[in-house]
Amino acid sequence: MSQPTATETNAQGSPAVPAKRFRGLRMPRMQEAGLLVVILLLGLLLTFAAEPINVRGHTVNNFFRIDNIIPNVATPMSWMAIMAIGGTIVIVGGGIDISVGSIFGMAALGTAAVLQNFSPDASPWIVLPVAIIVPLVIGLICGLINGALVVGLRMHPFIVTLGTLSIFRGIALISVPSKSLPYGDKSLPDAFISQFMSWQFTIQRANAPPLLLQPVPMIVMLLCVIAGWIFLNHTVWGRETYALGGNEEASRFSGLPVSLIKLRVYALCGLAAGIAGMVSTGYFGSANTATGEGYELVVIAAAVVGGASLTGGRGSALGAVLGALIIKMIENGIYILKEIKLGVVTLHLSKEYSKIIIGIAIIVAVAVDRLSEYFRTKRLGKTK
Amino acid sequence: MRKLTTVLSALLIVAVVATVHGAEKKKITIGLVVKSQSNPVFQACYVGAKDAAKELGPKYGVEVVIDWQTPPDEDAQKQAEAIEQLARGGAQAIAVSCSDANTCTPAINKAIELGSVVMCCDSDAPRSKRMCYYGTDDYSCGQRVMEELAKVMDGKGTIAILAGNQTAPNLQKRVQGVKDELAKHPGMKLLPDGVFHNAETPEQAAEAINTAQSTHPEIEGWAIIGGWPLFTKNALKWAPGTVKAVSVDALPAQLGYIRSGHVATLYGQDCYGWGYKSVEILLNKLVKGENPPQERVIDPLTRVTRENVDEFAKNWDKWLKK
Repeated sequence: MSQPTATETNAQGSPAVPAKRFRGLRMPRMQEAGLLVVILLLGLLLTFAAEPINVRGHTVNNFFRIDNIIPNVATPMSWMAIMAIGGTIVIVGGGIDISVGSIFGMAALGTAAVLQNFSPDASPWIVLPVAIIVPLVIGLICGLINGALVVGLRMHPFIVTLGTLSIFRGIALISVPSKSLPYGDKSLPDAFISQFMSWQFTIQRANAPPLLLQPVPMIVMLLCVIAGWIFLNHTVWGRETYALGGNEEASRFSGLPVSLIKLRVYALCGLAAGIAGMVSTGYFGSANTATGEGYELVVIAAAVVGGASLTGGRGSALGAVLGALIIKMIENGIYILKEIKLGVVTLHLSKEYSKIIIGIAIIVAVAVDRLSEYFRTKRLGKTK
Repeated sequence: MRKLTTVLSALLIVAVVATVHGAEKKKITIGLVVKSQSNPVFQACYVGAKDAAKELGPKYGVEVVIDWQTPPDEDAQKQAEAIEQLARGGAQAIAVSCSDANTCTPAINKAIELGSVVMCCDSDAPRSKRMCYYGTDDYSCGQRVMEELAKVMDGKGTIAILAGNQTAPNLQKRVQGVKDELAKHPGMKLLPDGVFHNAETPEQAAEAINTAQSTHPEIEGWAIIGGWPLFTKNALKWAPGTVKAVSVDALPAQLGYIRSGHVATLYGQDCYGWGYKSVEILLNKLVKGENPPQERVIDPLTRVTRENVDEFAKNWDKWLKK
C-alpha cells in the first residue's frame, strides 16, 4: 500500500500526476515496513517481558494470547484507528484537526439520543439505517463546518479546530441535560447493539476458558482502511490532497481547486469521526458528554507515528492504523507489565505512563520524519 | 557416611521447602476500577482495599492481590476497557465505581460472563448483573443533612440548598431527601427558588454559594449536599456561626470548616470502606460462597462535628497513608 508523495508530484511539475520512477516512491513502503518491524519487536518484547498468568486454572502468557490481543488491543483500537485515518487525510492535505474527539462525542451522543426512542426489539431494517446515517451526517456536518471556517476565514486550522473542539463539546453538554444516554430506563435497540456492533460469538476451547469475540468494530475499521487507501492512492481527489499538502502555492498555480480540496479533507475527517462515534456507541451501548474527551491527542499521535508528516504531503491509511496499533500495544503493555525492573530500581507502571509514552512517540516520530526529510533533500540535491 | 547424611539432609530440606512452596496459598486477584486516581476519596478507597487484602487474606487462607486499574481522570470508556481487561486477565473479582453506569454496564455483564464476580461501590450500575452495591443511600443522605440543619437552627429559619449538577440522579435524590425532611419542620422554609445548582468544581461552587448568599441575605442556613466549595480555602465569606451550614463529605480540606465554625456538621462517606468492605464482600463470595445480606449494602455516614473532628482527622492519616 504505497502512495505518492508530494515531493514526487512537485518534481513532476504537475501535482495531480505521480512520477512512477521517482525514488521517493519507495519511502512510504519502507515506512510501513518499518512500522511492521516496530510492531513485531514490541510484540516480542511484551511477550518475553510479560509474566505468565493463571486464567481460571490455565497458565498462559499475559500478552501473547488471543484473549488479550483481539479483545484488549485490536477491538478497542478500532474507533481510534478510524479517526486516525480521517486525521491522516487532513494532515496529508497540510492541515490539522484537533476537534475530532468532540466530533466523535457529538456523533456518539446524537446516535444514542435518536436510538433511545426506538423500542429495544425494533426491527433492524428501521434501526440500522438510522444508526448509521445519524452519526455520519453529524460527523460530516461538523467536518464541513471546520473546512468552511478554514477556507472562509483563511485561519490556521489549529486555531479553527481548537475553537470548534470547544464549541462541539459545549453543544453536546447543552443538548444532553442528563449527561449520559440512554436516559433513565431506556436502552438502545438490540438490532444495533447486541445483534450488530457488539455482536458476540463464543469459541469453546478444550484447555482454556471460552473465547468471547466481538468482531464488528474491527471489520468496520478494515473497511475504513480500504476506503482510505482507495481514496488516497487510487483517486484524483487523493492525489490532489497529496499535492495540496506538499505545496499549496504550487497546487494553486497548477489550477487545483485548493479551497474545495481543503473543504473535502475536513469533511472526510469529520465523517471518519462520525463513523468512529457510531462504532463506539454500538460497542458500549451508550454515550456520555465526556465521550471522546482527549482523544485528539491519541488520534494525532497515531497518524504521526503512522508516518503522516505534520508539514503535509505524506501519510497513508494503513500507516494510521499501524500507528494506532502501536499506541494501543503500548497502553496494553503498561497494563500487562505493571512493573519493570531496571537493576536495583523497579519502575511501577500505571496508566499515567501511557500519556508520557504517547507524548514521546509523537516527538520521536516527528524527529524521524524531519531527519528523513533532511536526508531526502540532501539526496535530491545530489541527483540534481 | 557423614557425607551421605549431609546429602540426605540437604535433599530433605529441599523437599520440605519445595513442599511448603508448592502448598502456597491460593492467589485471588481483585480488580479495583473506581472513577479517578486524582480524587482523594478514591485514594482512600485504594488504601482500604490494600489494607483489606493484607488483613483479611490470612483470615480467609488466601493471598489477595489488588489490581488497581483506575483511569487517571474520569473516563467511563477507559473504565469499561479496564473491566474487560481484568476479566480476561483472570481477575476473580472486580469492584467498580461507575463514572457512567450506561457505559460500564455492558462491560460488567461481559466480565460476569467471563467468570469474574463484580460488585459496585460508591456509584452503582443498577441495570447490570453486578452482585451488589456498597455505598451511600442518597435519599437518606439528604434527609440526614436536613435533619441536622434543623437541629443546629433550632427548627426555624430560611434555608437554601447547594445542589451541584442539576441532572445528576444521585444529587436529585439528595435534594428530594432534603425537601421531604424540611416539610417535617414547620418553622423552617426553603427560600423561593432556593435550590442553587453549580458546576462541581471547588472554585465554581464557592462562587455560587457566595453569590447566592450575598444576593439573598435572608438565607440563614445551607444544606450543602456535596462538599465541593469546601475544597477551597475561605470559600464561605461570612462570619462563622452567622449562617449555619451542614455538608456532605468530610475530606481533610473540609475539616477546617468545622474547626473554624463555618460548618456545624459534615457527613463523611465511607470512602476507605468502599475499598475495604468491597474486598471483604468479594472474599466472602469467592472463598465462602456467601452473598451479601442485601443487594444494596448501605454505607453508614459518619457524623463529624467539632467534638470529634480531630479524632476523625486521624482516620485520614491512615486512609491516605500519611
